[in-house]
Amino acid sequence: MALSLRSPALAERRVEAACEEYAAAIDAAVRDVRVARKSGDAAEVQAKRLGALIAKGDATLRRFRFSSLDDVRAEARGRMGALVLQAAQDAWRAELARIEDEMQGGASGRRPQKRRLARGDECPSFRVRVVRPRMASGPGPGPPDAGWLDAPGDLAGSAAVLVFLRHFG
Amino acid sequence: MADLWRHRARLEAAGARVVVVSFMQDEGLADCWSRQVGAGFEHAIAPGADGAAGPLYGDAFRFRRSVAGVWSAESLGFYAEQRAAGRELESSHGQDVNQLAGDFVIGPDGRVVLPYYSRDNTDRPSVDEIIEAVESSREGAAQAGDARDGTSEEPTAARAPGAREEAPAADADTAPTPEAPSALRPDTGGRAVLAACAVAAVVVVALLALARRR
Repeated sequence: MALSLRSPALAERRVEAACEEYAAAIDAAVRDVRVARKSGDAAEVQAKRLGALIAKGDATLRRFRFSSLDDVRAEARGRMGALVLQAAQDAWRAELARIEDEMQGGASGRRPQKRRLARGDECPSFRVRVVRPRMASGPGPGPPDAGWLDAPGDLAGSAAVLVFLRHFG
Repeated sequence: MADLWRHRARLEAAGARVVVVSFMQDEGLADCWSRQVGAGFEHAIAPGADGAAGPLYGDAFRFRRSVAGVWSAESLGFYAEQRAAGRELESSHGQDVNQLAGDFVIGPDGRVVLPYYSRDNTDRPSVDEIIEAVESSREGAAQAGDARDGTSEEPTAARAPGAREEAPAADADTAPTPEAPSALRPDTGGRAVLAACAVAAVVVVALLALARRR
């Protein structure tokens, strides 16, 4: 395989095939989302249909021995595969934008968004449960150390870095 | 997160207290996550109902929910690459996958120094950006302290050089309260107006005194 990839013609065929396969997966996912919309599924349910692309992207990377989709795009630059992939991704973005709009209530029913915090704003007040992981407090068994954090009082006097996570994973 | 943990000595040297915030449903899950990731920072949990984030996310720090940020080409490509590299993707444990997050640096004076709202799951400030913000907040606080003590001529506001500017969304009900016109505020143009009035009053009194003498 390594030897064969030295041939420019084979390398080109490889990246073109990878682009076509991934673009076809995107097209299929977008079609699936449109079907879900016609069935009356909620915006968030429609979006979840796009999750199928994770497995398909993984399969494409493995099959054509690329380590990342950025590598595929970089190698496809200036070739037909890049255009095919771009067109599929544009359709994906347009579909996502439509779902996002639907999720936010649509143009007529758009919910007001709160102004984001900016530099210089006061830290909001909050009180939350805090856990100190066992790895930091020692290897012993048993529940983690826990307490409460009252902000901004408990954060006063030194700088604080708050790292907000998304979901587990 | 593991990257931040590797740089904890730098963060501690800069005087920063790092707190991970999540909406894990319980302490056991939060502890499990911290050990899996290998980061021993304090872990604050702020869960809402049914796997949603609590009000700390949306109401206090104003993180939004979005499908565009979560199901973008970049996000799904990232997960596909993780799988292709042989890493297992974790379950969300019933947590809201459309909740966006980010990072905040709060200065010693309780003010926001670095507000960073992530656009998707791959978008975070670099460790250097965070440390720079922490250091600038301490310098800002020290200068403000000097100014209060009368040892500094020009106090400067705390400012993070790498801070990303966010375009605030239009919002009628949470927009900042309109301030008084600048001419009435004693810290800006108000002082000039008061001085001009005082000078005018002195001139008028002097002219009246002169007229009486004549």
